[in-house]
Amino acid sequence: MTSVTADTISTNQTVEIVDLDGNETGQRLGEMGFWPGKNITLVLSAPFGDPMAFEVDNTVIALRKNEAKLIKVKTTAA
Amino acid sequence: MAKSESSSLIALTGVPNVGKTTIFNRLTGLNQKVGNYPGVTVDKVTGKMKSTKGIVDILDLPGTYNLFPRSEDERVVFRVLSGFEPDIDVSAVLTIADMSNPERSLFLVTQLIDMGHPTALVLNMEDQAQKEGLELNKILLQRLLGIPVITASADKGIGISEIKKAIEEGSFAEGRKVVNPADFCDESLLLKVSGLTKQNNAYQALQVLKFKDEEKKIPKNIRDRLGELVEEYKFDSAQVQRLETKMRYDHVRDILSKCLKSPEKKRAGLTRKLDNIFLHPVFGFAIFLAILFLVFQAIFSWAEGPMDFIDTSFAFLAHWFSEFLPSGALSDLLTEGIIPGIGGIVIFVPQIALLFAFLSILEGSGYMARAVFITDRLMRPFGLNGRSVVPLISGFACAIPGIMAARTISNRRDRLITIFVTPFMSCSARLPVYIVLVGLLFPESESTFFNAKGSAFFGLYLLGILAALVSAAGLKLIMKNERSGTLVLELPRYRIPQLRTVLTTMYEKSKTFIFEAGKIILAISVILWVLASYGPGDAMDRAASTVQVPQEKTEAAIQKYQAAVSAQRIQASYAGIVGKWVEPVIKPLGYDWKIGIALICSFAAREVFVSTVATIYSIGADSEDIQTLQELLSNETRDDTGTPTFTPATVWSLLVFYAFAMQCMSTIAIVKRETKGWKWPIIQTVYMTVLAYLSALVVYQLLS
Repeated sequence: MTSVTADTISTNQTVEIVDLDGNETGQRLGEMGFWPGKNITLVLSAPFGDPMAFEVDNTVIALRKNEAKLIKVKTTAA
Repeated sequence: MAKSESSSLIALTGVPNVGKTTIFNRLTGLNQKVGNYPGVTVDKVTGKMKSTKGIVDILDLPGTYNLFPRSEDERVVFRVLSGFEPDIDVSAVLTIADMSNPERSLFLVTQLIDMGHPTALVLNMEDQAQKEGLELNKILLQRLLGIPVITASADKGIGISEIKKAIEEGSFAEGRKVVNPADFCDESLLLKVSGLTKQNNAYQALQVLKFKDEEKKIPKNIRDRLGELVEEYKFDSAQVQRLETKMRYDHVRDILSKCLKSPEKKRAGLTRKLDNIFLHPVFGFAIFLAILFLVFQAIFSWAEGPMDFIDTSFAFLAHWFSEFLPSGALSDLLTEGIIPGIGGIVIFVPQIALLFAFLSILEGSGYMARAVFITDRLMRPFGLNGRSVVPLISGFACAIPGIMAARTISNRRDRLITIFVTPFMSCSARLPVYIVLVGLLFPESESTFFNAKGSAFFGLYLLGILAALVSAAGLKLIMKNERSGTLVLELPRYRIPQLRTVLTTMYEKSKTFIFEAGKIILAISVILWVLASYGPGDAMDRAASTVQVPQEKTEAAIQKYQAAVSAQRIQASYAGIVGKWVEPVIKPLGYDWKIGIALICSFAAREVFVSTVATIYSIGADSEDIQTLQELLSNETRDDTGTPTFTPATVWSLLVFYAFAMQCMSTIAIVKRETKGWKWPIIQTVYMTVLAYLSALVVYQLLS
């Protein structure tokens, strides 16, 4: 089990959020549904790998790479 | 409080993409009014719902995910619900949620309940929820939240009568409070805050305390006092908000675990499949460009018929009035000033209606968010973001709706840059100017697919786009201290757009344009008509009498005489005086004083250039006939040298000038309104005019 940021996961990978950056954007992501304990899946990435679209709570939300960096996730590495 | 009388005001709230606008349109029909909240650029949309108990006012608040006021949209919702908006006294809150996706909506619902207004919840998209096999226990949810719950499928008109009935009967309830602010914050502190800002309950007081610095409506002395309280009680706003967010999430999870049964199977299969096509690295862009091309075609070709019809109708109307009214100054004002002025406004309606029809379809289908998604990265180097794409493309029709569409950009810097550069996009008002001038350059039009005229048009459009992007990049460097934006964009499920919503959007946007920009355009046309029709004292009559009355009374001779009289008259008019006055400034660009008059007059709106040159070169009443105008212009010679006025150098110089110059009072007016001040429109106008002047100068000097 390793802790990484959400911008590094691969397409269709599902991970669990463990922590959010304490800055304002991080907090905002929390209010949009990216809350510790929830599962997120990288659905797809735009050309150039940025922005990235994550599924959370059955909703797909697009984040820029540097926004996804604010989300710490844990992968249950196989 | 819940059962209020005739003067009740229902606030409509909800997270984005839950069909809130559809419900609003269904409830109010076309009885809508778009206004402004003081100090912000968010549209204040109100409507009237007819009911058996009289008229009920409904306020359509912007869609927000929560009530923490960070963006302008959220601030407006926060203000309205906290009682900071004067003249808006909300009697009850109707909040809309997506039944097929309740997790997403309930966070806001819990906040709304804690704000303490009587509330009712509409679970919209029931059909979708059923299709996906989702079961929600409505009765239990109603009991857990403590507010009435109504289910609806607004797209199909199902549930609308139940919503109407609930509003009529005032069945709203205050609900069960979710968060007790005293759990994470000193109660005596909140009491003191309530005392200072007149809040109704502890949660409102807490909100005000957290966001006091963002809230300009709080008088400075009270804000200072609040600041002292924050110090005194060591109030940690961020920590409090984290605790509150956590409590709400726990609560929402708890409620849903009790009353929601989700299907085991993964949902949204169709949306995923469509996204694989629309967001494909290669095909995605190809589809995006194809859609752009279609919109572009529509604005130009499809609008042509109705525009010609409007043009002819107003010409006919003016003619009809001039026949039936006794001739005189008043009749002239009506037939030469007011009627063509109104015609000049109405003529843009087909394009604006078509553009907003497309935007509404793209928005309603869910594609718009995808367009933002795939273009965001490309726009970033220019200080723009994916949301700038729509305003910029709209700018090809008219900068005004484009600048209005920039409201969706939440970041201040990105939004200002978008507003600043949108007028560079070659709008439809430039088209008549381009047509006349390019026609002068290439009089023989070949009917081949690829011809010189077409290339010239393409070049001019490219020039505009280039100017927009380069200026945006420059502004980004200047404004690098401003906070840069975030994207955080929901990609909603694909849906079939609602015809009703599309039609309402077309109607509302056209109405807004006619009444907001139309007033200015009409006023300026009348002023310009006066300037061109009157001169100091009897100077115009004296100038006219200098023309030799022809000996032979042939038709050609009389026409020639009348043309000479008109030319003399306008030369002696106020407009002529101003034109001559600016001649030294514009001479290096290859223009004479007559073009000067046209430049000044077309400052109101670019297309006025055509009708003004038509008047100045006096081809009589039939000013819209481009063929005759072209012949006249190419025969025109300079007063001093006798050489042709419209040499290729002069024409190119004019084309470049019109590609860059602001030359549009309505755009200036809308930028002033959107940026809440004269600073940006003035900087923008000066910048564009200087750029236009210098570019035209370079072009003329190189070509002549």
